[in-house]
Amino acid sequence: MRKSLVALALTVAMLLSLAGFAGSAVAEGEKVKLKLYMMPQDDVQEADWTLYEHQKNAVEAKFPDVEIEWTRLAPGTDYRQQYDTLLMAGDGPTFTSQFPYVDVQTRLANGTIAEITEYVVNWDLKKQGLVNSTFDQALSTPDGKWYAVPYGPYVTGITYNKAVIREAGGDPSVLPTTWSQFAELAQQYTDKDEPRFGYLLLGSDYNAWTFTPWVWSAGGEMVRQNEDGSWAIAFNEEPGVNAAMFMNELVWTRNATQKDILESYDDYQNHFKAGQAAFGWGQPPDFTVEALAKFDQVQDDIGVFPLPGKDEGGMQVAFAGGEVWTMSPIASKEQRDAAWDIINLISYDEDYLLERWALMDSLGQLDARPSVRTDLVEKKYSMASQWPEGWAAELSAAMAMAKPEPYCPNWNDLKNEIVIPLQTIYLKEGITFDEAKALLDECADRLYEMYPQTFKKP
Amino acid sequence: MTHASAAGPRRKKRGGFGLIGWVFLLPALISFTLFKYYPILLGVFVSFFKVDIVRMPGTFVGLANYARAFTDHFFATAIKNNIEFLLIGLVMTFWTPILLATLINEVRRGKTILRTMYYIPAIAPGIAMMVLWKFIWQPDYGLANFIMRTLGLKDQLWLNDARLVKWCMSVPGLVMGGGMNMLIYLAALQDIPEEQHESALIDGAGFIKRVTRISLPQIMPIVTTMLVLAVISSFNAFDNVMIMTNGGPSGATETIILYSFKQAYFGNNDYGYALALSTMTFLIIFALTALQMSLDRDWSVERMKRDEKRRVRETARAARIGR
Amino acid sequence: MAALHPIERKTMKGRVTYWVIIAVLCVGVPIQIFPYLWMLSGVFKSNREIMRAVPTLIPKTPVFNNIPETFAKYNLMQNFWNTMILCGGTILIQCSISILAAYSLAKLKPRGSRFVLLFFLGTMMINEQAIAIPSYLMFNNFLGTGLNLINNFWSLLLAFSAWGWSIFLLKGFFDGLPGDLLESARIDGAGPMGILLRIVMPLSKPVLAVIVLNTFMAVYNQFMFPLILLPDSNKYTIMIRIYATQKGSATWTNVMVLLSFATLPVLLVYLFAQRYIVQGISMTGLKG
Repeated sequence: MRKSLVALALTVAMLLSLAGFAGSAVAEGEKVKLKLYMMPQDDVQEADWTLYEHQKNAVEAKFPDVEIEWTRLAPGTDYRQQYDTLLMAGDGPTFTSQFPYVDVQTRLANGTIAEITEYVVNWDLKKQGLVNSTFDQALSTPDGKWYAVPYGPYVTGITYNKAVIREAGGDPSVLPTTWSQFAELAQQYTDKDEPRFGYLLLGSDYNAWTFTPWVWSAGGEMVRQNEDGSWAIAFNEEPGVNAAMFMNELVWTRNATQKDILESYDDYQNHFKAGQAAFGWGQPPDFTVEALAKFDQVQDDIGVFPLPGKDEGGMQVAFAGGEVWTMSPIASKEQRDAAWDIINLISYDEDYLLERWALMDSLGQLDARPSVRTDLVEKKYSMASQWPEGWAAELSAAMAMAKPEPYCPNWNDLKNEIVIPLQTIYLKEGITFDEAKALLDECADRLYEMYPQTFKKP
Repeated sequence: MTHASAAGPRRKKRGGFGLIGWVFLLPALISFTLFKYYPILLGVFVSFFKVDIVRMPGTFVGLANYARAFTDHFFATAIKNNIEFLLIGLVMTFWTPILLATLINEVRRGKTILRTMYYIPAIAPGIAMMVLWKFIWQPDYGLANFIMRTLGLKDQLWLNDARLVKWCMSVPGLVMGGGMNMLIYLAALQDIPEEQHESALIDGAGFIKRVTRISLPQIMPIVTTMLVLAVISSFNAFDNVMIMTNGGPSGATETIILYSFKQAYFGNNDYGYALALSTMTFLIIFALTALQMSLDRDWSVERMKRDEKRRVRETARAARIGR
Repeated sequence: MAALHPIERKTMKGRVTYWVIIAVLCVGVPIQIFPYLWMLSGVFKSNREIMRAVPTLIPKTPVFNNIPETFAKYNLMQNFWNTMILCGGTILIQCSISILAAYSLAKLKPRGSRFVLLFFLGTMMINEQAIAIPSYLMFNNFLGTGLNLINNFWSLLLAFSAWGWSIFLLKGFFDGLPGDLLESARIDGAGPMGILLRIVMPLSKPVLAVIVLNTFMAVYNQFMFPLILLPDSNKYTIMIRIYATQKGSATWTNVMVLLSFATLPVLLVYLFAQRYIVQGISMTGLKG
């Protein structure tokens, strides 16, 4: 009797909750309602609030018929997780610029972003070729469906701290252009008692991110497209193994890096911002005046340069990535229309952008990201009146050598898979080239085996 | 249950309290149903789906998530890691509290102080201790390497070394779990009647012989129970790996629960697979807990009954006299 | 009892054995306490000094502003109050539920309640790691009402409201209460609630103290549930703050302040309630 009561209660609860899963329809009011998570967090600087107010006013002035709820994600949370949590509860941003472009294929596959083909194919700016097209292949599917448009590309390279280099008795105007120069300088600048590291090695779960440009600078590729459209894995070829061995050399032979490779990316960045490293890896927008001031560092001392080439005259590269605009899969047609107009204003409207950049510059906040409007890239940089001397030139140089993050289906799986062999190679003292190659080969074979649709041996 | 037979003599009075009895039980029934049984059933339910977070629960895939686990080398590594954690824990931390309790039990004066000194480190929040030890193991400027250098030895990578990491991670457990378990063994040791030791002494048995022949066999039931608990907690390992290593280096500390957590929360949203993995740990632990409960019941219930009944009767008598 | 007999301690061999034991135990104590000292010394080091390859136990130049700095930077008092709300709320809800249920099972014994104890004890076989993610899914849309309890303290309070161990312990204790005492109160006209509040509860102070303390410790040290159910940094408990801080933008000095701060409440609780904690362990041995 009791047992059956309990069973009944359980069944009812289960059904109720499943019903809840299903019911998440969006109510349609007369005025289109949007929910935007653009409000800054409390702990940001004053200037961010000024910029936010400016954006809010511009949007509200231009679209009086749209009712917008301005809000923000809970602070301190992982934005991807937060987005999914909200979406699961039938809520969340109508559109967002949070996701890196390499996430798009994963998200379109699990249905957490909306298809926006109708807007992109009828987009005048795009037809005129004024929209940054670096990432197009990653934002669409081969059958011509679109899921995202660019928001903010960035360029990452080797960052350096002039003050630290001077402290170590070096000359910050001499920057390495080959691997051997890089290794020598890094070794020379290291003093573990301070501690001061010649090069900060990123070895945690994101290690494929920094490894990729080193493979490029060795003259190789992470993946290479086959003629039939599938992809061949290339990181286990000679340049890839060389790059991994070079990192091992920096760790052990040169003793020029930290050995705690498990540290998170935040820790990693803090080491650099705190003046504990001569060379690091990063993107200029990270180095705001305030972020550095926390550690008594100044923007003038920070610079960026492309990765050195493997040998004299070898290819020097930087790395391009970036975020994209995506829309919520549960947004209605009206909401998407309104969202599309607002995206066009915020990221692509010339008058608005010029006004905003002028404001940013006056606040000392003009970031180094290239504009997604290809015709306005130069214009933006020319407006930077407060940048430290040399930044504009350094950034342009890095940008000229930038390669976009590789994109292929299962790219994220590849990045997860390579974490383990890379950590093993970096941390094994005296590993040989053949041992390193064997580890990377094994990793490549596993990828071929696990994702036969994507990866095929050439 | 054990106490059910005690209901006998008062059976006839039950009628009057029948309804109110169920009313008193109701909050607990609701709470246990909703927050224990429902989640575990929901977990099993969702593990049969390829979850679509927009249209929950998604597509029914049957046992596909379970099948996937058996071809997933990450899962195989995770199981291997869980088992290694268990074995290393047995070597490092399992026997030390037994030894400690045996030694402390011999102390005549200052027993309470010694017991407290060994127990205090155990009450510090485990998470705080893990972070502290992470700092001690830090390879560039941590204390451990300083000690190595002082002793003229070579620097080690500690938590960054796939071979050493599990050993390093079990060291905080030496202190943390040590104190707690020591108290449990100590309580058991104090129960051993003095006459047993006396008669062994008269037979001419030495100290060590008396400990191994008399003390240890007497506390064996509790040792067995603790062993099962150690197995359970090693399959549940999450906090320590999440905090100290996040599964690294080279996947050497990826446990089943951590891997399941990552599947759900680090960008994949693969709740179906995550729940298939955690359901498997549940099945393992369900069996082990059932075993543990059957082993444990006699020991703890008997002891509790004896101690507490006595105290309660005394209190009750005092209360009655007062009235 | 001790294996070493009092008479034996009068002999030379016995005395040596005894003092060897004492010596071993005394050597162990500093090793046991040292990590704490190391943590405390970190609180007073400068950011540079704490990362030196040649560490110091006593800071060369003691720094005192790490403490106010850490409190201001991470809003620690809020984390502390969050933790206290959760601990207090759980104690209130979970203990009330457990007391009512245990009392009913031990003394009222309604028809069929024997199976109910099994129903409660059965939950001790469910590992919390296996129900954490499903609980998250459940609270995301609570029982289909569209109510999202993620980032809401209620999700945690509700999830913690069921604890088989405390019902088990309480029932065992209530079983031992003399029936005639309760019977005489019943004849005096007291209802079940009156008996529970006026007679059973005052007699059960020791076991209640054990339950309250253990609940406090369990909630205070919880990691996985608050991590999943309360991801908003304004809702962080102290443990989640430690986790987020040590993997995020903190210096080791900040972390050491945090660790010391997190250890303090349990130390205080231990000093004032040591008897009940030790009793809790020896009463049940183990927790589910």
